[in-house]
Amino acid sequence: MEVFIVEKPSDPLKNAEWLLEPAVPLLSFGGAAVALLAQMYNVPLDIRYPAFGCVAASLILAYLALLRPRKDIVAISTPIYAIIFFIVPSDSSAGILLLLLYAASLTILLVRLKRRFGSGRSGEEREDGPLFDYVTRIGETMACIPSDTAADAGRIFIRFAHGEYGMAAGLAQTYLSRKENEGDNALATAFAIIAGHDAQCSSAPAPISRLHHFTGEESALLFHPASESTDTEEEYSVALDNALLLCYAVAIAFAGEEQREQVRSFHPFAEKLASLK
Amino acid sequence: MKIGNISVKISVLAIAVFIVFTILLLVTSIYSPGVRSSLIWLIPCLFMLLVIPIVLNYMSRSQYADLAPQYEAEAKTVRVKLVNENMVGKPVRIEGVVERVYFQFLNRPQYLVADRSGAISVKMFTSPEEEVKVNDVVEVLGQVIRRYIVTGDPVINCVSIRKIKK
Repeated sequence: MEVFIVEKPSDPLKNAEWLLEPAVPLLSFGGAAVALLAQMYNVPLDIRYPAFGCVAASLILAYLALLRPRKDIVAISTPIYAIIFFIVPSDSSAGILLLLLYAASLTILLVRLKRRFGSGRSGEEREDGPLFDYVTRIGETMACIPSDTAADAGRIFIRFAHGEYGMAAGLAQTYLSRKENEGDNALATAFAIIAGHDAQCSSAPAPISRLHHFTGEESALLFHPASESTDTEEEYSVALDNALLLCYAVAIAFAGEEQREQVRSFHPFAEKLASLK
Repeated sequence: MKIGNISVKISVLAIAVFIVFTILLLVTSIYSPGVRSSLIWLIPCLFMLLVIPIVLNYMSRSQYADLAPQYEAEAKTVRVKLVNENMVGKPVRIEGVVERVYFQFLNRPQYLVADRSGAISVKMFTSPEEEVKVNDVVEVLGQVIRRYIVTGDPVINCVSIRKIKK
């Protein structure tokens, strides 16, 4: 039996981001500074050469915007304006003032990008933080999960993420109906909760009080602490999130490499369930 | 205004365009008598500025009204938190409170609908059946799409939004 403990990967792209972010103001203002110096010392220099600093800064800004899970259409479209202003030949040539204003705009857009659209790459590549710790914890504490069961958990998680609740419920029911899977454990409860969710989405849902819930003993294996609210709907929502996150963690920790990679591509959904994004 | 069973709504923008061009036509025909002979086709053209948006709105509204029962039958009720990019193309039903309303004046309203699990943008490409305001509790039927067609976070392309009592 394979027990997979997730290792923290180094993220060279994140490091590249740290280098690229300062490059936006440096290149754009640098180009403007070169044009200004050339004018001060009467050096004959075509303004389009220093303007390439602004074009390059726009491309970098667009790249940084594309990396984020929420796309900033304004930042992504800056290279188009850079090409129109500085590359496409026109009757009025770009001046130093335009370079300075453009550099200032790019810097403001970079700040806006970081503040409003978050920093770092999309969740697909990120594997650290509470969810990573949870997967590691499940890998250590649930040491007796066969890889077939983990693959089932992964399949159920993937079907659920696709909104195919009926198929997810079917897979969970198939697992629960097998005799060898009888017993009272957290994963079986998670499967039972997911199996019950499909009916919950129908036009005549079952009363929430009749649905499955994790027991007190199982709560140590859950991501979210059990809801202390008396609101049964809230309690059920937390239980469903926990059930799905348990399936995700079990699949990542115990499934075969191929299945694990498939489930890993649904990391952003797991982050959403974990309320991390 | 109602055409058959479809309530048709003209946007404020279309009315504003009509008013601006009416004033321009009046002023021009007062100060330039040569224009008056062209009024025979200019006036119908002016009214087309109102008729075309009305016809377009009727067509889109009637198409949405035809789609609504299909979505009613197929859509699964989901919490906002469960809507994710893997569900693109799936019909969904969400219930929540309207936190914000944008672009209502363009007849292309966009709502921010929130339930206890989170909030999501609901885009509608025609006018809604009934006026929806901030703090209304609504049921939304629609399809999950990406904000910018091929990229962006998942949002709901709304087919029907109606107030519910909760």
